[in-house]
Amino acid sequence: MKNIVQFKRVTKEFVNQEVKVKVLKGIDFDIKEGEILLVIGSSGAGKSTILNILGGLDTPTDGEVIVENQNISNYKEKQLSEFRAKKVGIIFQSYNLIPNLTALENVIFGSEVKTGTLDAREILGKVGLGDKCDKFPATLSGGEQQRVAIARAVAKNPLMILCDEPTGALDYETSKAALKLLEDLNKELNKTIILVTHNLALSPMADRILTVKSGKVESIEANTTKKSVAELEW
Amino acid sequence: MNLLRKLIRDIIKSKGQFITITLVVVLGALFYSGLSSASVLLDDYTKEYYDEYNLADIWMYYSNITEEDTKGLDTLEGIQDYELRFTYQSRTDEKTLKIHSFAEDAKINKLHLIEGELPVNPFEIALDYEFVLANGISLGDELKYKVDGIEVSYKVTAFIENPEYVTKIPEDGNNFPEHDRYGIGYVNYSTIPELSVITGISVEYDEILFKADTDTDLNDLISSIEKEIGRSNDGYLFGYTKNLYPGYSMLQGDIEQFKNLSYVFPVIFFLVAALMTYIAMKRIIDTQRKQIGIMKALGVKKGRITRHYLGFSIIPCVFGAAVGGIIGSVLLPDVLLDVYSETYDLPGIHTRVIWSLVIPVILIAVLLGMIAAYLSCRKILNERAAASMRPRLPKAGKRILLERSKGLWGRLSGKTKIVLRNIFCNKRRALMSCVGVMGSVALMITGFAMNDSTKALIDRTYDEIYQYDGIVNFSYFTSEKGKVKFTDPYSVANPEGIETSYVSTLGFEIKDDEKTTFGSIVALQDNHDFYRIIDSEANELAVPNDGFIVSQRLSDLYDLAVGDDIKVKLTDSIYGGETISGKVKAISEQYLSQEIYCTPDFLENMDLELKPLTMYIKVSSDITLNDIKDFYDDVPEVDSVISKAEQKSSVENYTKSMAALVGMMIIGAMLLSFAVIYNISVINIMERSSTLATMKVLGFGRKEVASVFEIENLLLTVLGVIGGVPLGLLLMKAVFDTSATDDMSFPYVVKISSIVISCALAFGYTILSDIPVRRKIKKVNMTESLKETE
Repeated sequence: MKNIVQFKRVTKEFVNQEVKVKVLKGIDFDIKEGEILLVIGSSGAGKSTILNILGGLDTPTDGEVIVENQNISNYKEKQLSEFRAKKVGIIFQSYNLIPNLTALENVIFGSEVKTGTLDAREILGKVGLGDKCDKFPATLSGGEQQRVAIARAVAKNPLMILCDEPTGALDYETSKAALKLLEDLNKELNKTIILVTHNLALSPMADRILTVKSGKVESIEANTTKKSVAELEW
Repeated sequence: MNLLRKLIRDIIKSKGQFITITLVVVLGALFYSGLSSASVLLDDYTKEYYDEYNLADIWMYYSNITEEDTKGLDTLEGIQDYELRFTYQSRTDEKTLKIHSFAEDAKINKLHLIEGELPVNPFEIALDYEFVLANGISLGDELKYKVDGIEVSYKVTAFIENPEYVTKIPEDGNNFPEHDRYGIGYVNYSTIPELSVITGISVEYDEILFKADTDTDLNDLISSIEKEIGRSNDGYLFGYTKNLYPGYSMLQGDIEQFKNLSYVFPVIFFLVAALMTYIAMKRIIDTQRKQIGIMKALGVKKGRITRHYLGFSIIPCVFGAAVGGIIGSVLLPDVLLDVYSETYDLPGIHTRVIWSLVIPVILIAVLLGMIAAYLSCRKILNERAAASMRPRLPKAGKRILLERSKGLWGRLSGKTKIVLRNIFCNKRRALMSCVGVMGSVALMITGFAMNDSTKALIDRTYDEIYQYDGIVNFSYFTSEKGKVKFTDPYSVANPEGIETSYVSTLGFEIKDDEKTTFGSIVALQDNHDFYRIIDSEANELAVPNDGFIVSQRLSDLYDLAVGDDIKVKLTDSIYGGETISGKVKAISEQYLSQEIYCTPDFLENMDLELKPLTMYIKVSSDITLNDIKDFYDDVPEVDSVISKAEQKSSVENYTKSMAALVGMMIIGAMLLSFAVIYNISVINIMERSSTLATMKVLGFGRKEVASVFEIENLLLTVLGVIGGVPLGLLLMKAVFDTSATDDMSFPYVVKISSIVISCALAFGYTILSDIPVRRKIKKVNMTESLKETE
């Protein structure tokens, strides 16, 4: 499998009220096409920062991030937003749907920035919301909203889908359903999925697991005993 | 204490909004306190000035009267004091001095000494200060002026002002002061006997000033004086009360105008400020739901939380109203007085803070602000603590009407859909924003319209109504060597090459229980060539032979419709207070005075003797107005010749003072509009900050994200402007109606360009307000704003 992303000695510093905090202290890893990469670590380890940099929401202080042979680490704002538009779909813990658009419209809206997108209605059907296309987010349950968010990320047909604690706000059953959905999408559409979580119990569903500790890569290992989401318990 | 600190921090956090709310309150308070201070200040000042220098209540003129003649007055009721004096004119080729004698122990119309010493010896003169300034005269100067053609030399010993001349309007017609060529002088009475020796005038006195007891009806008094030493006496000419005295009545009219205007504008400013406070508070409170819940959960009493949030409006209101009130009561009257000093001479007037005006303004502002704040937080405060600690359920999106058309809706971009639903799902907020824009546009239109209307008033009066080229004013009488001869205008020879029309003007008074209006009846022979009377549609009206045409204002004030009877009392003393009546035949449009038109025949049929002391002239090509002026120069019966152009330019001069006031209002309206639109934009973007962040994450460019807000603001502005134009026209009418006085009423005229400019300014402000929006979009931290669910 080919590498689509490479992190090379990536560091990130935040200056907060004149106190410098080094959140990433030289991160190196790569992402392979079509894999599920799990990024785990405790709170404050730097996993969300990695995701933000990967998603073009933030830039590293130093180091290189190569995405499909392009170094995005020194992209200007305009290039970054184009990068976000073309290459990534992001799913957040707090779904971040646009309240004034229906489920279907939210999905379509997410794809307006890009060509070569998938059919919104079909994807909504895949996530099990074919009959709720015309509902507004506020009338949907949390799980349903998260599924709309997933559909929005997928329908756009990006290079990779980034998930930041996608199940953080969901209960056990709904979480499982959402993860199952991601797993299916990965299988059927061969989408690269990067999943950030602090829940170690999710490890078995990943192809590889990147463990982050205090701003450094503690380990990166291939999962030899991959299990489907259905088999997971926590 | 801690809550106070939180309050201050919260305010600092939303400083843009608080600054703009404060600004609007400042403006409202400024205009209210400024205009009402000006009226109070002038009112107080004139009362004091008139009181201190004892302004006469009645002036009566005789060809000759002696102290012997006035003995009978001592027995009359209602007279507090009376004084006799001699008044005459002294001229050079260009300048005229109206000179009064004064007694050293004068009690009425006392002189206000500005510099020098009052004259004691014959031919020492005290001159009015404006004339002094305009002509560069110094104390001790010698002035050579002619009296009845004989040169007399005066020595200037004092500069003075007098309450009987708060405005010095030349008697020869122009309605506005011309200090360089017309002044007032006072000489010691000892001058008069010596003057008679030089010029041969054998007159003792020719004028009596009366001070009436308080609560005496001046018109009744004048009649009883006339009975005593008036009508039977051959020397009696005419008399009038102070209500007809030009300086007095003009100034009272202006004071009233300030008072009227001081209500209209501030009311709008305050309402807009209240609306803005409500919108802004609602937003702040929405973002602080959780905090309110926490405070409640911590056991903070509801009353205390309410007080805390009321503080948000109290602070800008108290601060704004105090600053605006104080600045307004000093600055605005200062500017206005400066402008009015063109017309009025009010020695020693100075502005001061009138607390009895400022404090109510603060109270009203605070009350309105508190009501607005209370309404905005009432709902959340009544929620249970647990409920308000939970994030508010996001407002469910709703379908809007447009979606019924599937085809059209489907073709819209997501951005447009967001904008449309934002507007139509928050109808109330959108409506309030629109109302804000509407108010702004309406105010701007009104401001510009005042400007347009003033111009139209002059143009219509001088181009459409007055068709003559000039006016010849005859003097009521001429006196030569003390012998009085009443003027017969028809016997005065006119130059070749002019067309003439003689016009009689009769002063009248009309009143009901509440008000009195003075005006004149103009008896026109054939109006078409010299004077066009027009109705509100600019159609020409013919002068009726069997009734009157009355002005629109009189018809409004006294509820007169066509077909009604109008009853007026003639104020010229030759008619002895006679009341006449006649049918209203038509209503005419007129702006500069309250005139009633009829034919001379109609009046003569009532057995009134007419004195045509005005003659309209039209000039043919062979003769110029200057030639005509030269011709009449040596005709003693002719007081003055004034060209229409001169009349027009002096009115234009006068309206310059209006322009200053109007200019301030336009600036105020423009500031208000900016404050409103800026506020709306800021609130708009705050409410949508998560949508904004989401769009950014989804990869929309900065311009595209901004356009969602810009389109929304623009649409609201479009709606506001659409509503604002008719509202502006209504407001204009209301403002014009309230600010109309007997001397000046404003035609409902507004130029298309004024409307266009007002609308363009509103759009301009909207575009300007997008700048903070763009800055905010650039600044927004995507990662953080997306995690905050609140």
